[in-house]
Amino acid sequence: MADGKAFSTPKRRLTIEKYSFQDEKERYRRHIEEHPFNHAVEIVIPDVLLGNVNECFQSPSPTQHHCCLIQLPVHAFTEVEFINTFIKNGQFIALSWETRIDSGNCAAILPTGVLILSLDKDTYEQLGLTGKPSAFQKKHRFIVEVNLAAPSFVPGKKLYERVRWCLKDKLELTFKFLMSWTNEAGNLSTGTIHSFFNSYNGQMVRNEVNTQRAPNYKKAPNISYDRSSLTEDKMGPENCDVCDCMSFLSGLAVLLAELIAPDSYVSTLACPEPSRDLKELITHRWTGMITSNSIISMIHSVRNLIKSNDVPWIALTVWGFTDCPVTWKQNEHGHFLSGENFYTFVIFPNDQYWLYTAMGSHDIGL
Amino acid sequence: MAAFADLNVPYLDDPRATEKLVSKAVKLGFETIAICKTYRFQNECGKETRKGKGKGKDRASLSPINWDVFPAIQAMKNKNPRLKFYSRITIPLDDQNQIHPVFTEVGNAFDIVAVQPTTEKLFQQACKSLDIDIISLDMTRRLPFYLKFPTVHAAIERGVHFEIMYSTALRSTSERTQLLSIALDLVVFTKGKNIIMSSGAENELDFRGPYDLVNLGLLFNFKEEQSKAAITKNCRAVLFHSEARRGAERSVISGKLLPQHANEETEAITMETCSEDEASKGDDHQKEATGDGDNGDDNYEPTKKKAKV
Repeated sequence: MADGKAFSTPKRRLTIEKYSFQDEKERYRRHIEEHPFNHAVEIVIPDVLLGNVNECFQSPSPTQHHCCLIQLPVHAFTEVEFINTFIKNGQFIALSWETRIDSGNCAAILPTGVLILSLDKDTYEQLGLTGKPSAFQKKHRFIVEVNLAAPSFVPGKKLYERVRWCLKDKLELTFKFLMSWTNEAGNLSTGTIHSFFNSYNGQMVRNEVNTQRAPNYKKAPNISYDRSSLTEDKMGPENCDVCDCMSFLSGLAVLLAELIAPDSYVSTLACPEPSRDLKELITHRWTGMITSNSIISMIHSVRNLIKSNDVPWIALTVWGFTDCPVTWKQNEHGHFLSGENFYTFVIFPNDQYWLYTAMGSHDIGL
Repeated sequence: MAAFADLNVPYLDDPRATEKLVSKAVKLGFETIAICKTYRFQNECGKETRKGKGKGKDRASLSPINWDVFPAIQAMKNKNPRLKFYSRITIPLDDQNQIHPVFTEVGNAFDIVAVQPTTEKLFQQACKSLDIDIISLDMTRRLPFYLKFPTVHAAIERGVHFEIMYSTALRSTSERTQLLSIALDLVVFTKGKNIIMSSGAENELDFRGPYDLVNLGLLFNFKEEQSKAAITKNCRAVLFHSEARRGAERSVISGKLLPQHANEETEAITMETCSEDEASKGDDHQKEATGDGDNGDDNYEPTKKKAKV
């Protein structure tokens, strides 16, 4: 503007960690498991032939997995039979679909068995369950948490009866739910849910996979675990810094689409220097609802791939749902201008990795 | 916050065209939509014409919106129960004499009543005393009067909202300049409160998505939160204000008998809270059903018309 008004960029947070897979605490595992709702996973692999990659991701690929999309009233989750079959055994997750966290009601069930309802003021007042005000929209949104797996949550107890009465007789909240269930043996068997709820009209949704080889774009920045610097001052001329690498990975889709030439008017995004030429650059992306367990097994197969081939690095990015009421652990998530929450593992040959975690302004985070 | 709202989708002569506009707005993510008719005076002859010859035509623009002519809207509503549609009328005010007859006619026929004052005196009147929900200034040319703090403040106190209609800014450079300068003024005088942003788009291309509007609001010097409130929370407040305005004379507290609950103590409390809530929401059906018995109810005093946000 003429008077030079400065607009601030949207607030967001990015944390970068450097760590090793060999650590006993297995921090990576916790990081993945604490983020239960994953919408997409993308793997970027330089310098490996497509055949090898496909072979590697045959078994852990979530392509064969389904999630279940059913329109359900929330009280269906409080049935004793349901709790005993699904919540108390294995890992059940459910997330309301096509709802907006900033302007409507949302619901989710965490693997720990906690039912989270993120309600706007009107619904909250009508429902009659106690909750706490949202951290981001203080008086206009309330979060109700009910632990379905608690031993005291059984018929006859006050809380159970109250929840049943509120959700069933008073205000029947109904959402479209995306659900998936991993049974105790660790196998995904979402089909069981589908048959359990066969009185409601549901459908199975298959996860999609999309593989891209970049025929013309074969450049990647030089990075190394130790020698890439975190700050602007470059340590060595032969390595990119960590933030540049992040921008490369997140802008990769644009670069691969080749709609826009690098350094054009529309986008100034280009491969950060110093870079090197590659034989091949493959991106592999799954979208749908992907469980934490399958992400962990993907991490393992990536580690195998990196050991068996001569690869400088492999990046694995996981995106969460933007309208999900929680992100990490049980921490509240909101949506102001964007609700993104994602993390990227950049994995190096000697079992070391970088972990980027990014979230928007309305996110309590880790 | 409440759902995204566009409280000014013009009512075009062709119902199909209106439906197209509405479906575009829905596609962009708006869930609360008001279809707006504009009242046109027969200005030459004033009152006489309206009583005599011109009556038929006048009536047409004043008749409440007939939702049956929009089958597509009904279909959308069935598909997505979260969508809400309202009717609105915008009355351009040029003359003191017009006000009274129009308001008696408009009465309760429309959900939302907006005025567009063109003189300072009418603007003052609109802010201070008229029974309306929205003041919509003509932002395509220079305002013929200066905004004054006490006047604007009076409107805010009463819960009346100001409207920024952004579609005019997309038409030409001069209109854009005007809109920016007036909107900036308005934000200064209201401190960013009680403003709604709405499209007023006569063309599908003039619509913008909710998050783009939040960014547009930053240009008008809104704070981030206020900018989002202008298309969510404030619109909700307008709707409550209109409910209060229309239902205030004859509303009663109504409660329905809730099913038996095991926990007796809590039941009494919830019973109380939910009946209050329903009454303050002003559920139409309940009011109409119990409206005849207004002589017996002294509990509810409809003096406070300002909608609670």
